[in-house]
Amino acid sequence: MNVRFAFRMVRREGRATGRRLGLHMLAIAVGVGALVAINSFRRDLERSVREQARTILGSDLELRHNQPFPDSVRAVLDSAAAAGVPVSYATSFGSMALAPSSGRTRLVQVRAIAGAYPYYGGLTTQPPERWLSFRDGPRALVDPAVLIQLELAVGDVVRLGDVGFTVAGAVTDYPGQVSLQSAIGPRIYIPLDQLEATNLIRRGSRAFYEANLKIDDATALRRFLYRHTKLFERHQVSWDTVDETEDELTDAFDTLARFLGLVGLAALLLGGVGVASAIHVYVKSRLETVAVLRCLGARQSTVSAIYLLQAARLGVLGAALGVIFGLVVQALLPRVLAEFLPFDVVPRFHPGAVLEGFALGALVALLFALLPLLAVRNVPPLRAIRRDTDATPRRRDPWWFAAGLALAAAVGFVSVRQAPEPAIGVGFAATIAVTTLLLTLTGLGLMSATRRFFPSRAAYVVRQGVANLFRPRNQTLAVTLALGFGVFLIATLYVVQHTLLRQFRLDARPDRPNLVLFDIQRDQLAGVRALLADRRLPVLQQTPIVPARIHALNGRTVDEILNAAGAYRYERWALRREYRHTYRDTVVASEQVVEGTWFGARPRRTEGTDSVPEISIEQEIARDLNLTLGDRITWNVQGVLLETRITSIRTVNWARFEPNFFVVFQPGALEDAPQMSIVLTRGDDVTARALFQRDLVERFPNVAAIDLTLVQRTVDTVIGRVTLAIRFMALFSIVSGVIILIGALATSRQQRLREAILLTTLGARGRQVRAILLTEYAALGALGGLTGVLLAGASGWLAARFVFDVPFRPPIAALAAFWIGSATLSTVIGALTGRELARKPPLEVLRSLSE
Amino acid sequence: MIVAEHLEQTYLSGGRPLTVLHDINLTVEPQGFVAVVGPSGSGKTTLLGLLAGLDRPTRGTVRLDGQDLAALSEDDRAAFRADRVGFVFQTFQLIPTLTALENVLVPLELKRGGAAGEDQRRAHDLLARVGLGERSHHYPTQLSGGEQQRVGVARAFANRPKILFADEPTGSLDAETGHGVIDLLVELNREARTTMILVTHDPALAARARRVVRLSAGAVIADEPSAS
Repeated sequence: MNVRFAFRMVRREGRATGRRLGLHMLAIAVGVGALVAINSFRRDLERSVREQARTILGSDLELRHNQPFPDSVRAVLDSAAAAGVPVSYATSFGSMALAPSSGRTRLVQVRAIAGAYPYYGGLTTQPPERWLSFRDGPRALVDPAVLIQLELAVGDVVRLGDVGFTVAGAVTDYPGQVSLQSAIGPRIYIPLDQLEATNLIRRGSRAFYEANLKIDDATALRRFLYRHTKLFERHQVSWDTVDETEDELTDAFDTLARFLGLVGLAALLLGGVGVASAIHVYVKSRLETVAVLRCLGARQSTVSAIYLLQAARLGVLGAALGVIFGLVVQALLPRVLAEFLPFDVVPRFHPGAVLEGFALGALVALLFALLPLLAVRNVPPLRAIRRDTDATPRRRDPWWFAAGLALAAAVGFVSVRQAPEPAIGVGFAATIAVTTLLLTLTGLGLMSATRRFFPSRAAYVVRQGVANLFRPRNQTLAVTLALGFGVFLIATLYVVQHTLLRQFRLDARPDRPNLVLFDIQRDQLAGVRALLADRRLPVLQQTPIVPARIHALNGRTVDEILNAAGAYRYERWALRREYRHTYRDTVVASEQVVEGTWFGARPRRTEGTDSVPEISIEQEIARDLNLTLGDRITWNVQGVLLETRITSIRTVNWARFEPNFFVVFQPGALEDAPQMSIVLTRGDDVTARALFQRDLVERFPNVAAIDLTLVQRTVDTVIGRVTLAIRFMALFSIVSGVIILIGALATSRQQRLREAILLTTLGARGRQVRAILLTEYAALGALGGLTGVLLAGASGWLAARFVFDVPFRPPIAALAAFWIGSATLSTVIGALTGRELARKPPLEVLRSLSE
Repeated sequence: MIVAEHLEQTYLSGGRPLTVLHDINLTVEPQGFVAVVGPSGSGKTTLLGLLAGLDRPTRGTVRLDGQDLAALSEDDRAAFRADRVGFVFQTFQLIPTLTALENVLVPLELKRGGAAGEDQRRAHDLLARVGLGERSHHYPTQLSGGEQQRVGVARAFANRPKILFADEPTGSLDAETGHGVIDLLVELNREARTTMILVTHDPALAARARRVVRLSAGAVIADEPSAS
């Protein structure tokens, strides 16, 4: 091999090919940019979490419980406080807030606090310095969103339960708070010693209890935990330290970043397809040159090296450009994702991420170029003097298999490396491979079909355009592959996004509830129903809720089970958690009995061995508890033990927005147990709903109301911002895809122009030539696009079924739009190509093609 | 210098064998100047391809400068050509992305691999010799047909070949330009003392050679000294 000559030829050839291949270099750059940006950002996140984990937590140790801390735990905390450890307490729960001045109500997160928490990190109030000073008496600090939504000002009163709190200011910055949180559940902070007076915490109320400790000596903290871990576990008190917070956040962001990285990888692979297409056409245009070089004495290895180096140059330049692009995007990402981050992120230069993106981009470009480059090896020198001499393809060329294998292995490797889990990476790579195969078959099928079913009776321009699809030197395969792949990737992203976002769309049909009232105590139920009747609001559903815990399974207590040898077979959380049961005789729409028989209206037996109440259990919780039909659960229903028997197992569609339960009791067992109720109602008039909620809060302050239209609006806001972040990353794939689409069609432009010039010279009118081009390009766009959207639908189904486990309904209208869009894009390029002819003399166009 | 014995070439055309050369025997002495003439389809270009080692015969042997071409691999034949053979093509076959100077340098770079000062001087001299000294940095698209062929001629002599093959060198040129190119080719050939095989369908051009081999339907029908 004459290496020096090869390099020299690369430099010389590069003068002419820069413009032609520049577009495809850009596609590589977009993909590399996406990967460099997201992988660098991932490292920025890890660093920020590491540096700021303590300020995110706000303390060194946080304890959490869904009931008031047991006396034994409280004793530990008091002892720590007595020893000089700063301890803060907080009780959080949802409640209705009423602004008497405006009459507006809103479901808020109440946080009753005591102590100097947060011990780390910034907290700012407006007016300043109010955090500790507001706690003397019934005063509150609120999220700025509360001021806006309840039309309050500092100094106004906000009612929580039986107490009116004077607004002392707004909390504008709180440790670990994601700014999006205020859209979901804005907070009101009140002094802990004022909580009891509000009368909001009743039997069965959902509240969360926190204790935050400042133990900044790591050894002392470890000692503290070591001493008390078993006590905490026994009472289901969970805890977080800075290290655990750091790990959880790192894992969460790592997973998110890797998913987004797959999108970037898709953009890069798309760029690779574009490179393959461009090199394919480039090599075809160089076959004469290759033959001449062979004639003049160049060895095959030298000639192959020239074009391999050319492809490598394309990849290296594209990757280098991509790195610059990626660093710019990395700086923008913190702003795009600011609402989802509980801390500040400072972009930094990460050599590892940059080198990895650069190497990947260059490698992908080279590997995708390898297959079309192999054609250079088969050019006979005889072609220099006899133009009709075709290349002699070698049967079972080992290089062809090696190149294909290298490409497949590289795609698989980078997919697995980038994905959150290897299985997802393998699935991603397999999808790419299947798509490529199907698109290739589609291209071949189109050529075969048009040849077989040639429209011989159609007009000349149509015949000529269709003939271009299968005659020698056609671009059908390359364009179908590139265009179809681009449409597939872009449409798949949309389908997956649409499928996920659909889960958050609430059912807005006229017969569905739009107002949910919960935490209604037994003695309040009649009053609430009367109020509803007074406001002419129907009771669509009334559901009793009875809290209970598992005492024993089949005669073995929870402690016995957890201390026995087979404890690993049980999900600990399922054994220890508090359950909320209901009782009814009907199966609701979100359930389906899959085993056993529903007790229905069957009366409860009161004698004999089967006299225990029957229950129906949800399928997955039954699996977590290793239970089956006939098994018995003994419940602790607020101090009273009640044995039950499983007579049916259900599946539950948790995505449906209505009360769903792990366990449903047969009627007749829980009616006398302490309980509260949920009532679902519907009011179409916004004012009537608002007035009802105001009256409800005034008469029953502990009863919370969720206005589902407000929830939907909030969900839309949150989803809108999530969508923006996803679409920002998806933009890379879209840009790459559009470049490839344009490039794939443009690479065939030269050849089409030459032919069109010949036709013009022979007497064809401009209109006829344009029609020929339009026919061909429209056919390519339509078929490539159709294959792409069909594959996108299939991969969307796969993702919904096996990755996200959500129902799938294809967005037909959007997919049709993608199809029409790709066909239109292809046709427009055909039209622009034809227009170029009409404006210039043939020789002028020929000269411009030669340059 | 060139010995071809019992050459036969058969191709598959439409699934059927088509024999384009029948039992060709040809010997060319060193510094010989042979014109191969015949009507279109007589097998002239096929014969040229076999003699130059660009293709393998179905039967027979070709020896160039004592080397049996069949004994060489494809790459070895390429190396052989780089060392000893020059070409002038009907369609000029200049590499479009290279300047005139760079096109002339290609055989030198392939042979030696280096852009030695000596090679650069030789290339410049050759271009000047063919009257294109001032156009060395122009690309083929910036040259007329005749100018491109003169660059082709310069390139053919760059590596001081022992054998020169010219395939219809004036086929794409008008008569006057073609005569000018042929004059140049013959003059350079005389100076370099190269063995030249010229394929043409032009009798007047063939008369410039010292010997004329006539082909018809793939067979030699005459092999005689040139009338001139």
